Amino acid sequence: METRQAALIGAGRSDFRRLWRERQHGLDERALAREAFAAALADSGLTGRDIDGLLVSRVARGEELGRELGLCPRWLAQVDGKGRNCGPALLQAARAIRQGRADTVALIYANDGRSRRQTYGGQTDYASQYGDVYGFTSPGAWLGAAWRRYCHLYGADPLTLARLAVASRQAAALDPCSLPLPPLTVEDYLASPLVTEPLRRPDYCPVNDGGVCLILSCRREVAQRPVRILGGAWRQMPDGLYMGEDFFFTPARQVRDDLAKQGLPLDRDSLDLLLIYDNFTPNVIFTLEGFGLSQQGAAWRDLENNALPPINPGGGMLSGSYMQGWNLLYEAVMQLQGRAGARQVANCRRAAYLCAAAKVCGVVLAREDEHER
Amino acid sequence: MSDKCVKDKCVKPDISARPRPQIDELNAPFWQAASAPEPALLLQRCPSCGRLRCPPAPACPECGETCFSWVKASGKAALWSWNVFHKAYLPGFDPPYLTALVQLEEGPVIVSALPGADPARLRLGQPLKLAFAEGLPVFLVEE
Repeated sequence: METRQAALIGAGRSDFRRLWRERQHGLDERALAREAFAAALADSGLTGRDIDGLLVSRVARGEELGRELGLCPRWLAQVDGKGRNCGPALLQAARAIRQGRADTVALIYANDGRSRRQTYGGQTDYASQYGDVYGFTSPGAWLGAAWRRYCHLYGADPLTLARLAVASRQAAALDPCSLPLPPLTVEDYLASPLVTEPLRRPDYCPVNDGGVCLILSCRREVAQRPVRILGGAWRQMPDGLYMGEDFFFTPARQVRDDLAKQGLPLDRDSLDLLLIYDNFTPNVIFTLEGFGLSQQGAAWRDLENNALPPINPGGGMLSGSYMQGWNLLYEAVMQLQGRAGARQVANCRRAAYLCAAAKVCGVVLAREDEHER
Repeated sequence: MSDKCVKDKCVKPDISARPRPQIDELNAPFWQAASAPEPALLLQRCPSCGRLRCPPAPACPECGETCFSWVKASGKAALWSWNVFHKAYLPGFDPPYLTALVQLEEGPVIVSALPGADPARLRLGQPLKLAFAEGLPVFLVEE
């Protein structure tokens, strides 16, 4: 095994539930970032002196944040906070460590979008003009249209989305830091407001405040229960429809092939857990099929038949916390370290983080004692 | 917020408040053709690989070629999918309103509108015919 292979050795996050309830919490993005960093650092057992790399996502002026945290990094990266960059950011930091640019990187993400009343959709710019002029806007509209077409092509049950939303809400209830959303039934779902039909409110992530920090390191001697990054790959979507005409299938298959070349098969027998970038319910279906966990047109049935490994045990982004992928990586660490409490997946040794968005990304993570499969 | 929504229901949407095309050197022929006296929907043809693209983009997504020529769309299309917007994201639109993703006979799938169409009667893949309204390409359901 490579000696400089990166492993996650610490993780911290906000108490999303508390922040949601205490609407006037007064913490901005930077304060949330500092809080998450302190939690992750404590979790790793390291001190600020041990951190020689810093990757900052979404929080503006990462360099300043590093100074505020008293860090002296020799490697620094600022990443656009869009969710599609979460997996690629982790891989970028792992590569920096492998190349010797840093030994221990803190990856920090924070978001005060709820306090600032951030919404997605409705922003007009040059690239979106060809939809804006018709009133067409927002990723949810693209995925809703894709889901309508998918149902037509494959005869899928439209209630699949209701079941996904319900399952996500139930899973979130097992995480003490998840958003305090009310329980949801299929009937509740059907009575909930339409947003961009066919999608309803529970098909969307609530925008919430919070931060996540991960500590990534090659220093094995300090690691308690390291979570190895076995490998990863990503592809940017070409110009055109948000999800492509095949609902992310082509780029996801490229990523799947790239991972196979790294000796990392994405199949049900090889993975104990799936962390799926669930920015909208239909994306769970498209992700499962694109990455090959299900045949094309079959994921909705596989879900019904419980034929897949566990998905997003903390309620994912739909109900757990919308941290644009970072909370899913946090969950991967907790699960692979066996620290996920009531939501712990039994014998969880290997997990995949899978994201179908404008960058399609897959990352495979594993416990230290996990060997080839 | 809710007061405003109730009020908006009573008045016609102010179409002049809608987002307008952001015209630049690249897309000017496209928008000008759509609002010309004899309007047309223009596609870009890549001279290297022959791929047709729409809406306008600086390079061919297939091969990266930046040269292109404009060609007129035949106007035949099929309904790829559609949305009904129930949320007021953009000014000048009064929810609920319909938007469509339309596959042109030439291949590209574009965003458009289906004036006069009843969402309850739409069928995926149904034939559509190009028309123009307010300087925008729109599509009519073929009866």
